[in-house]
Amino acid sequence: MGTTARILQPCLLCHLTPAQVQRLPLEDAQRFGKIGDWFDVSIGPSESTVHQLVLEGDCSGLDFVGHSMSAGTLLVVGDVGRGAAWQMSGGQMQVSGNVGSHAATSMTGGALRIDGSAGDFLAGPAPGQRVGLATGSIRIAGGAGDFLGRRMRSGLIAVGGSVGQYPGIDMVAGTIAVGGALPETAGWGMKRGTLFCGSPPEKLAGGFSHPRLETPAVWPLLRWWLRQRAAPGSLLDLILQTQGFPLYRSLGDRATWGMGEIIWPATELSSVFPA
Amino acid sequence: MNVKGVPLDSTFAEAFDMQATRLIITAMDQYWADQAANAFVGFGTSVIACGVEMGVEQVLTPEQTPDGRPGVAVLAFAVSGKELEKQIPRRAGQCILTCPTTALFAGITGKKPIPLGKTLRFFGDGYQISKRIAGRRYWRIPVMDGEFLCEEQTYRVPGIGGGNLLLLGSHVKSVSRACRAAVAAIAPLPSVITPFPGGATRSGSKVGSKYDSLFASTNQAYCPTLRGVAASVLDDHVNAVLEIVIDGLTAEAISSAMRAAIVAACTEVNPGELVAISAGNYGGKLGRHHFHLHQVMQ
Repeated sequence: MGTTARILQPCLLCHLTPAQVQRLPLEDAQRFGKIGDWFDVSIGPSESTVHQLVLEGDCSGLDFVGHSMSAGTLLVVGDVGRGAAWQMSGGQMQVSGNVGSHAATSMTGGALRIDGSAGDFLAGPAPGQRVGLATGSIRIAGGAGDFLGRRMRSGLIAVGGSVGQYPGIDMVAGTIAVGGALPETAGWGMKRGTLFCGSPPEKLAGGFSHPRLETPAVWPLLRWWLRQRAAPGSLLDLILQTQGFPLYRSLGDRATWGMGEIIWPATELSSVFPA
Repeated sequence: MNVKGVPLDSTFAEAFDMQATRLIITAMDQYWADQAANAFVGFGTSVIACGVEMGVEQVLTPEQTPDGRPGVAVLAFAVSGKELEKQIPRRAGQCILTCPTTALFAGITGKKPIPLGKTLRFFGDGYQISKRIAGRRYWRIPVMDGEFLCEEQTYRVPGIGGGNLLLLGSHVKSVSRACRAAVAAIAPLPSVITPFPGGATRSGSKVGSKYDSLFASTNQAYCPTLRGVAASVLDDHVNAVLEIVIDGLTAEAISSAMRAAIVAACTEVNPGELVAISAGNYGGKLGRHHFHLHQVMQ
């Protein structure tokens, strides 16, 4: 278990002096001490009116970084622990490395950018809550773990590489785009929403309709949007750059009377762009 | 003042505040986009009885449309936001939703919404799907050729309706030629439309009537056949008058359109064929936008 670091938000710290920031206790102060015990604090050059907080070094032991963040920019140079951007509602958070599990839990706004990979339960609901990602966008250059976008209600998750089991499970709405293939467990129980994968799914769950060759009318807009949000150079980005490919589309999950969709290119594009 | 030998009356066009919106219709090809647009703007000539004045503003290339397909931009003007909110969804439902391969998008931003897909989605009977893309909501309504994609809402903004020109000529053929040249000169200009058939009307009206149920009737002062019977403003050389009505999003857009139209009309015909160019007004008491012909040409 890592150190809970909910206080590491740009808007909470940017009005304070470095000395004041160093004296701030972490969540469990008796065990983990103060911010000053973990970080050297300094003020960088101020070129923007947006509050910006930069964390440098290995933060993989810090949990809940960017918790309840609502504005400003939070840059993490390195890895970060579990629960990053938990209940984030605005601003931007960028992580140059990997993030642990439960990132973007119950996120309701803002943008999360992960240059590495994400763990399990990305953009799912907080315990006791029914809604996962409600608004906002998440960009992952690498892959993501199991239970990606569980119960998400709106927003976008663009995963450059592959994902684990159960992506989009119980999805209510929104868009998940994945550069690689989707497992058979994709979209289980989904009500609405779109799952795009760059490669044909291994197999579709029984509640999904037989795939038909049909490009939705919304695809040109969706592709344009996804291209803006996909990590440059990722498999997803390379696939989306390809012009005019037809799409297969399957609707489901009819096991729950859902009208979600899984769409993928009819041509095998991922072989053209090795991961 | 003369323009290429044609006298320009020292008068002004009186125009009114209206509520306006712009819509973008796209389709698989230009044919279906044009068909949808023509049906949509049909019976949209005058607020007197149509409820809304509409016209094609511009034909759009695929690069200019949200979904990268050929399209058409349409402007609509009504006397109130409520009327616009009533007319647009009804017309969109009957003329664009019904037209093969079309999609419908908002063409303007603002604060006051006009429902599009928000209303039309119910045609999907529960099979409709919404998709939020880049902060805008779209409805995907299943239809027999696939899906009708329709943005949730467009917006209304203040506009101006009733900019006008009166072309007075010796013969209807020459006035018609001048009129068509004038409308052709307006066509490529942004933010304006000429809502009447071919951009022109022969039934310029005055406010009120001898019949209580009518609030507009023929403007006898400009009817050549009534000279000698009713008070007329036409001299003996004038045998035909056509009016070009111009609605626009801004006063500058209407002024530019009037200027282009006057120059084109006066260039098209020989001196003498067009006796004068005038404009319609109500003494300046009804509309707060006055487009003085001489000022427009400066």
